[in-house]
Amino acid sequence: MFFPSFQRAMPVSSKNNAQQKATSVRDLVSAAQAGDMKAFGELYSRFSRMVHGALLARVPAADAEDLVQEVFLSALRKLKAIKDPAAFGGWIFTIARNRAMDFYREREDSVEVSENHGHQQPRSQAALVAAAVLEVIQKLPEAYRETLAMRLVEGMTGPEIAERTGLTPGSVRVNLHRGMELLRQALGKEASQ
Amino acid sequence: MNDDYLWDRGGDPDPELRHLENALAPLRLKESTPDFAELKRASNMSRLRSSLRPDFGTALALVVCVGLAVWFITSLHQVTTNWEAQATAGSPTLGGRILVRGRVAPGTWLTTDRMSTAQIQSKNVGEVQVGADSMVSLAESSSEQQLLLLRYGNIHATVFSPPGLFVVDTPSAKAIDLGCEYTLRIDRDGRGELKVSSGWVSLNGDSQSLVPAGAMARIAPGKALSPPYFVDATPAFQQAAGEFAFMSTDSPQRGPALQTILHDARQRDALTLLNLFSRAQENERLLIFDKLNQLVPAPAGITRETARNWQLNSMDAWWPVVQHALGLGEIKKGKTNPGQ
Repeated sequence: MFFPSFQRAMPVSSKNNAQQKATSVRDLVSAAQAGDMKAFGELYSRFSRMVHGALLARVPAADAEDLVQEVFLSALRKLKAIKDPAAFGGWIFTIARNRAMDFYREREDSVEVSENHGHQQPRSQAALVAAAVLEVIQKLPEAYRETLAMRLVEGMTGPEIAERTGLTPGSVRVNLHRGMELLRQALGKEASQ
Repeated sequence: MNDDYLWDRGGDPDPELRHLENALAPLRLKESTPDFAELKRASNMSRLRSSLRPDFGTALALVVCVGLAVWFITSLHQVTTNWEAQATAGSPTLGGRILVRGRVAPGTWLTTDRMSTAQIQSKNVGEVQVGADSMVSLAESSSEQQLLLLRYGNIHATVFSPPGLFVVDTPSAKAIDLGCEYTLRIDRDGRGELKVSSGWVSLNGDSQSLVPAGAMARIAPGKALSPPYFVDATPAFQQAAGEFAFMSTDSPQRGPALQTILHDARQRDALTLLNLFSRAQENERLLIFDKLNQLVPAPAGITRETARNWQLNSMDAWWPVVQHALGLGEIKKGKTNPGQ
C-alpha cells in the first residue's frame, strides 16, 4: 500500500491551516484506532521522516530505517492508549527516542548475527561523506542533533519540525541556529585534524 | 549563514547549508509506506512465539510433546519452517545487524544495500537469492503457507515445495508459486516485473496474470498488472503488451498500442491476447477476438458475441486450447481463474 509522498513546503502561518492539520491528524489517529490501516499509512507518510531524523540522531544510519518501521509498529500496537490523538507527533517522537535507547541496550544483551564483527561493507564516496558528517552531528547535544538531522538529512523545514514534534517554533529555531553553529565548529575541528 | 534558509528554506540558498544537505542526502528515508496490516500480523506471530516460554518444569514435557508433534507434522507435509540466511556479497543486515549467516525469524527484515546480496533457503521449500538494494521478511512459515514479504528490491526464487505453498507478497502484487523458478523485482514506487524461468507463477493484483516459463508480466503501483507476454516476442509487442493494461481508456496511445499487439502477434503470443480480454473495451475485444481466432481458433461456443459481451470466465474454454496449441506445461494448481 503506497501513499502520496509527504509535501515539504507546508505553510503553517495561518491559524486556520494549523487547526485543519491538527484536526486532520486527530481524525487520522481516530480512524487508525478504529482499524483503518490506510489512515495509519497516512500517519506514517506524515511522521516517518521526523521519526527517522530522531533515530538518526542516535543510532547508526544502517539501522535507522528498520527502526522507523519498528517504532511505527510499536505505535500501532499502543495506538488505543493515546488520550489526545492530536498529540500523535509528540507521542511517536517519544517512542522513537525510547526505541533508540533500547537499541543500545539490546546490543549489549544480545549476540551479533554476524560471525565476523570486523567485516566492513564497501561504500561509495558519497556514503562515506554522509556517514562522517552524521557522526559529527551525533556528537552534538541531543536537542541540536535531532533538529539538525530532521532539517539537514530529512529536508524538513523548521515550522514542519515544530509541528511534527510538538516542540515550540521558538525552541526549534534556537536549536537549529545553535546546532548549526556547533556543527560548523565541529566540522572545522574535524577538517583541521 | 542565511537564517531564513536554515529556518524554512526562505531567501537565497545558503551555500554551506546546501553543501551539507547534499552530503547528507544519501541518508534520507526512502519514501514508501510499509504494509502495516501485514507487518502487524507477522510481528504478532513472532511475539506470540517468543511469549510461549514455559518454566523449566513444564518445558521438558512440552519439548518432548512439541518435538514429536513437529516431527509428525513435518514428516506428513514435508515442509520445514527453518529458513536460514547468509550473505553472498557485502554486508546485508538481518534484524538490523550485519549478517554473515543466521536463522530467519518471522517478522525480521533482511536488508541489502547496493553493494550486498544474500541468500535465504529452506530445506524443503527452496532457495531465494536476494539481490542488491532489497528488503525482505518472512511473514509466515507453516505447513499451510510460506509467505515472504518483498518490500522493495529483487529476488530470484527456485522453489521445490508443493505448488501454491510459497508466496511472495509485495506492495503491488502477490506472486504464488505454481512449481517454478522466477525473478521478481519491485521498485520503491510499486512498479515491478516478474520473469518466469520454469513452471508457472500466478501473479495477483487487481487482476490475475498466469505467467508461464519464458514469459514475464509488469506490475504497476496500485496493483495493476500487465498480461503475460513472452520475452522472445518482438520488442514492440513486448512494450505495447506491457503498457496497454496501464493506459486509461481515453489514452491516445491505447489504439496504436493495440494495433502493434495485433500486428506483431505470433501464435505463441495467443497467451497474451487471451489475457487481454479482461483489460479491453468492447470494440478492442472484437479486434482481439479476430486476431486470436486466426492464431488459435476458438472452441465451439466462443464467438464474437462472447467477446462483445465478455464477462469473467467467459473465455475459460479457450484457455486449454491455447495452452495445448502453444505446448505450455501443465499448471500444477487449479485454484486460479485462467479465463480472467
